[in-house]
Amino acid sequence: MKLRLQPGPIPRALASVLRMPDREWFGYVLALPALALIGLVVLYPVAQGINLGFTNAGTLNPGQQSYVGLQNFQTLFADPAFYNGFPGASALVNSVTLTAIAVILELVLGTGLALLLRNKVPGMTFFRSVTMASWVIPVVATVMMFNLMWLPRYGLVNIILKDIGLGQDNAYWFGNLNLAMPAIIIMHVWRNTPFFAIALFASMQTIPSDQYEAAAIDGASWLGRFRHITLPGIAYVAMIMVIIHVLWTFNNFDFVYLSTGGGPVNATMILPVYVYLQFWHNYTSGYAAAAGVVMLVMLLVVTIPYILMVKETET
Amino acid sequence: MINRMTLPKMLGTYVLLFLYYGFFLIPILWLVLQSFKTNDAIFSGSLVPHWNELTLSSYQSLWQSSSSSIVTFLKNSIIIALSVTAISLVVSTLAAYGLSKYRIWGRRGLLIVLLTSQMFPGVLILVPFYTLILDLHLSNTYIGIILAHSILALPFCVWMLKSYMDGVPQALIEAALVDGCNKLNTLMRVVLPTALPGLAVAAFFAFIVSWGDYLFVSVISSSTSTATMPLYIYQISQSLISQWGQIAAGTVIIIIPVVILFALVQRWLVEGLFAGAVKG
Amino acid sequence: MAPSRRTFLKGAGAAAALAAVGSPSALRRVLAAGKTPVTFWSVPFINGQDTKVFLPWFLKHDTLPDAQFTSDYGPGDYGIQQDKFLTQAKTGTPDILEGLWENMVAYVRAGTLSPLTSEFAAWADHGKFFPSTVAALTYNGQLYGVPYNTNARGMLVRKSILKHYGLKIPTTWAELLETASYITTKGQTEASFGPVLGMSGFGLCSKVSSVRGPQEWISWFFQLNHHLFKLDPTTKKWSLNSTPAEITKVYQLYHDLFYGASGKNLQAADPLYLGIDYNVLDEGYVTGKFAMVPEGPWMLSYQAYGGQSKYIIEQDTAIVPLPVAPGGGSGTYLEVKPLLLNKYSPNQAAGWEAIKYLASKPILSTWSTDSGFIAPRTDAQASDWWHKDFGALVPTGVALDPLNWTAVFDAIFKVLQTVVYKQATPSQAGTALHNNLSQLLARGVL
Repeated sequence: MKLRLQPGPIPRALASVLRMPDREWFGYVLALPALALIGLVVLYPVAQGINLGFTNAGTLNPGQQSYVGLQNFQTLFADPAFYNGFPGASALVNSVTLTAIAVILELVLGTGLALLLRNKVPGMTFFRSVTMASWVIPVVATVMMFNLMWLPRYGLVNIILKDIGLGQDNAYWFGNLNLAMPAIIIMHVWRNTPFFAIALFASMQTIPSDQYEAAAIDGASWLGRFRHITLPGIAYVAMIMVIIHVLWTFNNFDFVYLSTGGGPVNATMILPVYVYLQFWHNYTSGYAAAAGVVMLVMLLVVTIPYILMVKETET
Repeated sequence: MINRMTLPKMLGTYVLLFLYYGFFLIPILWLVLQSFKTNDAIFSGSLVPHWNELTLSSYQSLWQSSSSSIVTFLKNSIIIALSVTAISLVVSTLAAYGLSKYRIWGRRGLLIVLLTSQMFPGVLILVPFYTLILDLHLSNTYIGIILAHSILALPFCVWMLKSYMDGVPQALIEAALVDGCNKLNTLMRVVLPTALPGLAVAAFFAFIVSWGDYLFVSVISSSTSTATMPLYIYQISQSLISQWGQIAAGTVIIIIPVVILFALVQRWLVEGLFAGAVKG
Repeated sequence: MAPSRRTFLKGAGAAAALAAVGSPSALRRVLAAGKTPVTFWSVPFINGQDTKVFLPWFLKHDTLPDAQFTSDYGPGDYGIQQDKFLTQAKTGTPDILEGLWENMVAYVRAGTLSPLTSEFAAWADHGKFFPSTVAALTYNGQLYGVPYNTNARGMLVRKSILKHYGLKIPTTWAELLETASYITTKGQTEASFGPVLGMSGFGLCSKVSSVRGPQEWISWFFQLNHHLFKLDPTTKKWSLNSTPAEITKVYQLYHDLFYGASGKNLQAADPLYLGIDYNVLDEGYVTGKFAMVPEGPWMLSYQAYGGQSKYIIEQDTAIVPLPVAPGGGSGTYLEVKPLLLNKYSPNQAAGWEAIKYLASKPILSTWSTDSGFIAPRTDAQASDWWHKDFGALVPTGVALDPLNWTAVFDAIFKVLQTVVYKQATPSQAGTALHNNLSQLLARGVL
């Protein structure tokens, strides 16, 4: 049995902190407001939320909550609206599908636009400057905008369909079983592609141009140059953008709730909306928190590589 | 990149540009057009309105509603968003400077805590956060909403400002220290002016996060005295007497301030927003 | 002071000042005047129904001696109002509120309402209220609200459209399908009246979170059976009082309205309008998109919007009972809206005074006349044709069994979605709803 000669991690941490010079200590003071706010307003509610997930708390039976272990989770995975329902009708699957398709489309379209923005044609500065316009617009405004595009008979898309002779294909996209999820995806892509485009464009600017010159002299085709020079150059930024947008899209509540409410028939039901409705419609707080915990676990799986990447770049 | 502009290449570029920017801009233009049409014109389903179908009545009716005039909501939105911007800027500048220029133990860990707080689903935090707000008697107050919005904006602002400050050359700081400034003065005199684009972008981000939030305001606010524009837009779209011209006009009004700010800030956007991304 | 601390304190001070500005200015005025402020949450005051006509009048006639209404009328939507009241009732705001009957049941179960049985009995006016409405607000033997608004659902019909096509007003489900589908078919090729091409013969709500939609559904159901649930007098337990076959009939009607009865390819309700809620339906009727709609008396307020809306409501509308099911009798949804008192309000006496004031004869007379609803007082009945015709429907109205109808309506409508989006047949839906409701009863959710 080895004698413990080294102090444990906590005494070591304390020692490091105490050994810091006074003036460096001030860094803690500066960072304190931000960390205190986040600790109080994010971490504490999250801890409480996780705790709630193991109870049967409900608004309609106040003061009667008790721990029920994993029962909420069992009910969750047996609920077809949450998991394993009709294809395209369960929250978990829809969330993953929506996030995957939206982020992939944003990445591809964003890369294409970034490549386009490098071309020096007259007026390019104007195009570059208006690119992010769709990202700054509040989500509620975006939903109303697209409502006006898709209203039956007097939305722009339906007017155009009618004018080119496809009048019978008129549909209210937010109320149509097959078109509602595509509509949501389109809104996400509309909003976020410019962010990808500008980020990738900025990172493309840092690729030294002599690499391209050398490749051209060696006779590489456009595709070859793209694959071997551009792609590796933007890979890091692209990864960061992808992970940020996976988080944002997965957690995004406003787009679906303000447009379809999760319908029709759960075709657009996604996890955040599911959790919200369990809290504010069925009033079963414990059950809703359990669904939130499932969301959290799924996100941790995605975020851990992100953290590792950030850790690497900090050294 | 070898970018010789041949004619076919230029034409191809323009075609693609018009496709992309058509997709991005047409919904906005259609919205603006609808806000100026009479309701009959909107329902007639024609693409281009006649001159006599254009009107300002949708905008006028928004001002004149007796119990929910748009003025109250605009006022609330502006006050809250400006407060959030001020608080976020101050708090995140301090935190970014502390994390960037001070060698404190656990710096990496704190940064990770900050970043991962962005990951938590808003809906999971919502009910415990709301209970916290009720216990602090902050329900239906400006402070409660400002608190929530500041939390939404902080992580990104700190992260971005820190990356920006990391990029300030150490030589500049050394020079200032030699000249007799303490570390804090260095912040004011050297680092901040250099990081001005980053500050502008951080302020802009905080403003639009607050301006556009629906989820937290919908929970914390329970009356028109604290309700903001997103609630107003949703409310008029759901109300018993809804008219699409009014909804379009309201949506245009909620967009205008952020678009103006965007125009002011956008030349720094590429530089400021992605200093963090590019430099890591 | 180091510059950063100064700026921080400046910022904090500014924020605090702004927060103070944000508190309701009416509250400060009222406290200065020495009257107790009473916060009254009223959805119609905010969502546009009453604001053009009744609200300005009401604000000028606020004549309570010891209490004053604040300017906070709540969030303006019944769903949001219910969520907010359930969670923040403990803070004491609002003092009183109005709501739907389903809201009241949820509030009672969450323990947030003061019983009003003895106060109501002591009130001189209590005999003037329709007994059925008072009974509807009694839950577990206690009265929890004072009725201020009642209506029974009927159907609004565009007289000129039917006349134009030589059609009679339908009185049975089969006639409804034929008449409405005729209009819809014609509407696809003719711009019948007004600038709108494509009038749909019939319209109803089918959005997933609709409040109005389930009320329409239950109106049809009450023609077949007045009670969806029954109470065992000895065990005091509720059980289902209907069969899957009976429930299926109603789902079959919805299916036939959108997709035509078997054999005939008729579309009484244009499927283009699947997934709409009450705002599209109501507005659609007064802008010429629907020829017939199931509605209630609130539609009268659309006359304040002038132009075509005013014409349609005042001149071109007939109020008739909903068409009846084969083998069914009279019956429709009787809505009773209560005024409620928050148990945690610190101003119980002032709150009760305010409720009595709102339900008094002069206020209710003006309110119901201007907004169109039926006042549940015998001495406050308006005598115009609108109120008379809707008033005639009230005796056929059926009140809901005293259960948690929010959950029931939710279940009904979730299953309805599978029918109107063709993911299940009406008979599958009937069985599904029967099972769902039995489970909810067994779990004690209802």
